[in-house]
Amino acid sequence: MADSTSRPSYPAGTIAKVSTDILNETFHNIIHDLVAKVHREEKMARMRSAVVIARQKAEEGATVPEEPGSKSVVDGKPREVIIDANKLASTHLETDAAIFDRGKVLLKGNPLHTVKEIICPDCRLPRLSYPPVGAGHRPPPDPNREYCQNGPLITLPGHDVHGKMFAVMPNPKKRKTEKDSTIPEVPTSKCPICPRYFVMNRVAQHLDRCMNISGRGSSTRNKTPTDSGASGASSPTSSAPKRPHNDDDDGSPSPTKKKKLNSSKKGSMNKPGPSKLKQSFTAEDDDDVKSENGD
Amino acid sequence: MASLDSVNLLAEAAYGCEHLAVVLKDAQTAGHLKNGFRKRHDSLAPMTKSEVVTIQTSGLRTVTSLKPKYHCLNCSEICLNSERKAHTKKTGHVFYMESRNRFVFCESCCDFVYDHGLERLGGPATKYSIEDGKGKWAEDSASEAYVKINAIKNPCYRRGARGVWNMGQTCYQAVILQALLHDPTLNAYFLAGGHDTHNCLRTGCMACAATEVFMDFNSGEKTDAVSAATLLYNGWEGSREMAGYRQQDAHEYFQFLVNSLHSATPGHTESYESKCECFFHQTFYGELRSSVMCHKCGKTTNTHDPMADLSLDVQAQNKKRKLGRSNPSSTVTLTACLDSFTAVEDLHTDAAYHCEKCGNTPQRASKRLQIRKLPAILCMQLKRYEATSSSSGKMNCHIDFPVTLNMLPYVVKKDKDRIDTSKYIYDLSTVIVHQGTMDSGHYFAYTRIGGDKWVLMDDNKVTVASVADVLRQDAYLLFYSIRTIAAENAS
Repeated sequence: MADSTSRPSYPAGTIAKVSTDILNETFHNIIHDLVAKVHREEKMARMRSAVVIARQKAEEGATVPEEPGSKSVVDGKPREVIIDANKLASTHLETDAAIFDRGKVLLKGNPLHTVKEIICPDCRLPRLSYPPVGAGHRPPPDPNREYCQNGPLITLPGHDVHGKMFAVMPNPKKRKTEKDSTIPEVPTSKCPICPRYFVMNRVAQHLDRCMNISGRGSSTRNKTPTDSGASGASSPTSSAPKRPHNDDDDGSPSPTKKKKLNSSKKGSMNKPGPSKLKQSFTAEDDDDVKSENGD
Repeated sequence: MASLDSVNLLAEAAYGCEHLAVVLKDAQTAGHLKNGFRKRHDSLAPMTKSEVVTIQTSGLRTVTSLKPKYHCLNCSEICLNSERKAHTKKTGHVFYMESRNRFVFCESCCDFVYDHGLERLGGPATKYSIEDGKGKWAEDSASEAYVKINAIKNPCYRRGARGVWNMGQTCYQAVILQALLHDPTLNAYFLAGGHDTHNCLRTGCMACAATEVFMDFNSGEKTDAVSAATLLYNGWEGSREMAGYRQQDAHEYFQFLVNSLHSATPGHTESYESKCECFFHQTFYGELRSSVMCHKCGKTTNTHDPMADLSLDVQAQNKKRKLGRSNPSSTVTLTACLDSFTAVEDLHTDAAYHCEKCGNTPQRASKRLQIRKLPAILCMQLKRYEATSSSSGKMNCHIDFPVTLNMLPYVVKKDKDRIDTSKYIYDLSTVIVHQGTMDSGHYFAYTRIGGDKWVLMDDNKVTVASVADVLRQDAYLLFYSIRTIAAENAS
């Protein structure tokens, strides 16, 4: 490398010569290691693909033929494939990349040349090299084919790595039929103590009350500046021990919360936006009839 | 050897390439090649320089090239990339081991070949010696094959790319779970019934709740976030400190979680004197050695303490940088923090150190902390709070941290021994970032999934991240996991 004409060359024995040599060779090593790592990953994947294809072909040949009259589909599930072990053990077949010989698979040639497609060793379906949507996407080579679910991660704003949209707070006003089934909703979870269900990101707040934690003398601890201004009707000290107010809600006066859910819907016309949503799911009254009782 | 045949149930080729197949099929040539492989593999292990056997040529040593070298597996020839072909032509030796990654190179293929069987020989777990090697190797593959036949395959999906629900100010829990949910050791423990949930009699058991989370996280084709409500509830029940709808320190939660998992494990010991042998102690706890040396008599006293994590002082490093003692343009690095953590520290004369040997009189002494035993999962906290007499605040500055970390310099070691440094290599697994102020804010985690992919876990949202994104973060907690778990020698 050092004797390449495009680079400045220094006379042998000088510090300049030694340091450029060291630098060049260090870069060489860094690139070498990076390439070696990628090479290993890719070649191993192709080796496995070659093996899986050969094995699959051999197994297909050794499959016990279906008994006439037996249903191929039982309870919606395909019948379990039975492989004749003896037949498989005596099978010899060749594919482009591998030889299946009595249970062993030997490689034929370099899998980097002979294998064109990566096959998942677990589900034996081809694996996509590029995400189907989002950044760097490419359409799948064959749109009618089934691909391994463990594909490349998807980068798409507003979506997660699986290509699913981020969950939104459920809107109780919408009927099930109106809802867009492609947008997932934040699920509900049962309180570990009481039988009520809460939207996932409200569980901790409820649990705090259900366990009566903040009421146990530590009420001053989680008080925030917004807390004091939130409710004019009750001073924090008097109300806190039993049932502290939502400090992260929009600071609405507490009376609306006391109402039952169906009445709060009517009464909350003056409060626009997401606060309605929040409230319908955080109503904390014990006689909250709308709470979804589990059983 | 019937059991060896069943190894092929794995999607592995019988041999790395056609040419290796020819050699390895013949027992005699195979033995020769395996010996050569093992010898080269051992000699090329990244060892520390031996202090005893110094290089004889006083001073200078000629190094022709730093480039990777190819060691012939049949003879002692060492070639450069350009010289290899000539050696093969001359001797007919085809296989080489490359010096940097210890991969096998086949000159006939003119490519690196990856042979499953040979690589097993070089693996850290199999202490292959010529005398007893055969039994161990066969047994290992038999059990591997057994598992393959009897296991039910999970459907393919993007493994591990699932969030954890924030139940309202519980992001401290979500990030710590993300740091643990991807660890293979912990997964193996919880999924293989390490904690017997059916016979557990403890009420509000943290290990039962954790098992539930691990099971849920690994179940089927689900891609949505998992809920850890029971774990939260049990945690709140178990600790007043952790309880309540409010923000918590993720580091405190980590310590609390590990500690409660330890106390939920049958067979754990709480006593300070006897070592706890429970799974969580073995996984998370290392041991610190603090040695104090009296300056007068030179007597050193060592005390050993368990450690669940390393809390590193970022402040001192940052101040040093500001004062310009080190290069002002350079950023604070994790290794510098570790250096100062394990550096020798002078105790003041008026400090209350009384040397026993010097008749219990106060003496000047120096103290040094070192790691005696490293845990498999190493958590490091970068202490970002600035505490002055008047106020306290969070320090927002970047601390450089590496993707791979060599912990050898911070470990107590005997100078005479040559040590395989590859046993001390840790890989970054999770980076937890705190955004906001000292009192309030949000946690999110960057986690490595499936080898080299990184994702940002922001509660239930899972998005792609690059390594560069990860390393750019102002980390608060760093989780490193050990690369190779070697059988521990009785020492």
